[in-house]
Amino acid sequence: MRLFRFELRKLFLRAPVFIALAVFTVLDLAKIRAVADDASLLRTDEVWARVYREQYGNYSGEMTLEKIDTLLDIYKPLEWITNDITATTRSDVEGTLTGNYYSDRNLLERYFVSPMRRFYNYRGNAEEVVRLARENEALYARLGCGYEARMNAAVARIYSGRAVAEFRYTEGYRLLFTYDFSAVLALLILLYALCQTFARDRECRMDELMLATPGGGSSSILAKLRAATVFTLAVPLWFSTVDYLGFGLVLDLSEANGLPVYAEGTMAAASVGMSLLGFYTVSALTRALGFWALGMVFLLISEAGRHALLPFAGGAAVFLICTAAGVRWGYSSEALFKAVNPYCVIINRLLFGRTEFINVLGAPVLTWQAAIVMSALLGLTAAALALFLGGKNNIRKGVLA
Amino acid sequence: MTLLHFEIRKMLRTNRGAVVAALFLAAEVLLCVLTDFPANPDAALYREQYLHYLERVDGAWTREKADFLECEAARGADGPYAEGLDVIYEQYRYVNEGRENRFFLDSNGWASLLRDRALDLPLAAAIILLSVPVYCGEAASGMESLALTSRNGRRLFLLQKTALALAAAAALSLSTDLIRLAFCAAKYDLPHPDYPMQSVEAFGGAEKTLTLAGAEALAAALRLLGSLELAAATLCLSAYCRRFALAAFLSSAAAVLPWIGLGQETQYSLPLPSSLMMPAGFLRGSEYAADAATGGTVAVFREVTAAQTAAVSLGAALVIAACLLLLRRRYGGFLGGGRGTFKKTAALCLALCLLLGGCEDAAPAEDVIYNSRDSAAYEYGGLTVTSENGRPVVLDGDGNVTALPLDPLAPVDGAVYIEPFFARGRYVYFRREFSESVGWSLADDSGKTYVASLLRVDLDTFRTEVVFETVTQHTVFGIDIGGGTPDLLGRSDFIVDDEYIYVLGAGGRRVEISTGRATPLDIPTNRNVAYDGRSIFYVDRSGVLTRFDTESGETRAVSDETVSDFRLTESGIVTEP
Repeated sequence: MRLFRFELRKLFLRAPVFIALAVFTVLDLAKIRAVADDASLLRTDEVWARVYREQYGNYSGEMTLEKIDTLLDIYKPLEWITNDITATTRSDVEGTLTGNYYSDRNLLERYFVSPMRRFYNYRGNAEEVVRLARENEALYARLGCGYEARMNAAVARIYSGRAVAEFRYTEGYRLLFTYDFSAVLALLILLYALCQTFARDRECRMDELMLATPGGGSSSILAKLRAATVFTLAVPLWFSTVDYLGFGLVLDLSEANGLPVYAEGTMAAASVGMSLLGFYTVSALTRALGFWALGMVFLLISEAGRHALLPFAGGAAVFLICTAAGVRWGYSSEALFKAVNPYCVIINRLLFGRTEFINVLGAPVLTWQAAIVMSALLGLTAAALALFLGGKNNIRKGVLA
Repeated sequence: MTLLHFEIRKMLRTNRGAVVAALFLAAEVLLCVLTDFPANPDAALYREQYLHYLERVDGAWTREKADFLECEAARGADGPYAEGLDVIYEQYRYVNEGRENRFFLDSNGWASLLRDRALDLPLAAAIILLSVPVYCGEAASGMESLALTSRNGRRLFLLQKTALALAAAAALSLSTDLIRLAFCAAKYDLPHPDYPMQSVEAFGGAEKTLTLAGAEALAAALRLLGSLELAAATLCLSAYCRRFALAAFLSSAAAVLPWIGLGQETQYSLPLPSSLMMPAGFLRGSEYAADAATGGTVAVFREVTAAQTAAVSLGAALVIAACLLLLRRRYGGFLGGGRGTFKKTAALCLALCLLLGGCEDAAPAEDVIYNSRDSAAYEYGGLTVTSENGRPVVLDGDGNVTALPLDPLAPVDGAVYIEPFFARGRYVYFRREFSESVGWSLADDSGKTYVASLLRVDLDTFRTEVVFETVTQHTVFGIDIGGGTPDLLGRSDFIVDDEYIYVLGAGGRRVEISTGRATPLDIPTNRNVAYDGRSIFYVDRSGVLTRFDTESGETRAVSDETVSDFRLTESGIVTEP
């Protein structure tokens, strides 16, 4: 335990790491602000923001036919008079929300009518999925295609009973889910801190000295691995927390915390059904796991480096290759390529956001389940290799000396 | 002289600069080969037909050329050069909007050469990898303090090392340009370097007066300046940080973060290495996009004027000068101390194995009779495949309707099936498209992804698999990577065999399933098109029934007389005179 604490302090709890973390946190927050300003009209248009706040109270909460009718009573006439572009373009019209007919229509369409329509229709769409999946299941069962039948049964199980009952503001979550910048920041810090794990000892020749002590050799490597594990999990989780707080500050996230994750448009075909906040937590933990697996690979490379440059470049190259593969196969039907790629575990929106299966000995396994297992295996293999290779080298050196 | 030799040797051998340079060259060539696609895919696909028209109108706009193209277009796009006419007419409309500086030109080569979709990561990485060890290596081995006490250790030490690192960066940058030039010249040809830059559509809105060659020279110069700036900054950082990890970390952050984090306009108004290394932004004109909410136009990029470009270049030169001065201060002043040696360790090779999905051999389809006229329904073994409300369905002998067991998720993920389908033996082929947009504020392509898949359903087992797929993703980490594979599957009738997809009709093409490579295919669909499992039969533009042998690739007339239409039946071809 003392070794672990010592390694943690020596490798990670250092001034440059903390300065980098602080600077990158500020950069992250600045970028979040820029993204929100860029994407949300409620941030850039004061009139829209005011009208939205006024109107939101009327429609938020449980969706009732009464609320839908009230909204359509305002929206339908607007749609009529703006569709043929004969309405006045003056911006001080009495009896409108924002002062202009077109602006009213756009605001209502974008922030009330279309999300409400999507929420309302979701139950029917999900029921349709269940119906189709059950039909397929029966057909495949009759034809004797076991895997296909089981897969469709799983789809039916996942989608049965899905419905969005409440109307809530979800734009913030949409931006949060598609925001990837902090992953690059976390990656750079991890690369910097991990690439010197072994190189630092080698630089001051501590690696040879340590072999002569009871705590040297494999037990010191084990302590390094444990310290690195804590660090690689902590950094991504820190940035995930900063992202949540950052988006929570500029756009309201808390409103939609309890809504099911599939209420958000890009997650409509999600294979998980927890709440938006619950999903964000799971997604952040999964991202941390992906970084841990990559971090163990970085450590393994670091063991081979004469100095810290090769591990840094090697780690960056591994990440780039994973990114390129992730971009190539992220949307593809070849679900296997997603499951074996740590990039897809780090940027995991597509992993959870699509219902895809991998055939494991005839059993349909969801891609995110497979990917989590594969990441854990990759990390453990890399850690075991680091331990095995490092230990063996040191013993041989010790004998020779 | 011997000292310089020694420094070169140290850079190339001790610090593995030669390996880095070799990897860099390989990566650049790979990047060109793998990520390049023609800016105007139709002009590349129907190149021969397009060049036939281009020969007539090449160069600046004139009244005669305009009349000629209008006449040709009015006469109708029917004939062997129909696709070429479409391409040249599109270009004519583009040229018409800026007659004085938009010329008729086969612009694919120049477009590929001048475009940069992303920061050249191999170049940035190679510069950092060559520059970091220059001072960090000396600091780490303790040679630095020794060298500084020797006669040649101060001024010459600084001068030679810095000059060598900068020269290496310059060489890397220039070799990038040469590789791209050679690649574009070989793949597309680079005609008429004296035409104005605006002839290339990506730069059509620019107000600068530059020829194509001038634009390329300016781009190369800016890229060189950016490379030198990155090298100088890395040298300076490595001299002050003294540690490999910190120097590599800070210089990578300086190279990459502004590119991902800053907006386009901010990037191109600051003297950043990343923006100078993507010089196309300095050449482009202003760009506008429709605002999805209001329908109004918003500027997404404002043209960087010549004066701003000069100011940014000057800024970069100042940054380089400041870095050099800081370096001089560092080595003119105190003697640093860090000691410690490195042990040589054998390099560990990481083999990344890509698992390739197993390929299943498709059974040869026998007795195929396909007529495009009948493609709305297909009968096989007592089943009828047709479509109902945009979704393919199967009717069994008793008239019971079942949806084809394709992806059941279409109601929630918005995947759409494109009619018509194609059937051959026990297989039915469907096209499915799926698109997703994560961007909200603009109606352009940012944040959009488009996936087109060809699905095959086996009617004996109803097993479904994806045979061919193209993914067009526009944004990664918030960076616009532009385009990708164009949609190859089209929307018209199509025929599939074991190796190829034949997309019929206007804009027809033959797509190789394993590689996605497309070649032009000219089969008109205004009359029936039939397929017997080996040959495609169609009525050509002069009305003659023609046979295209898919195995030998040869086309010949079935008979001399003209026919108005025909059908392929089990007993043979039935023609209608």
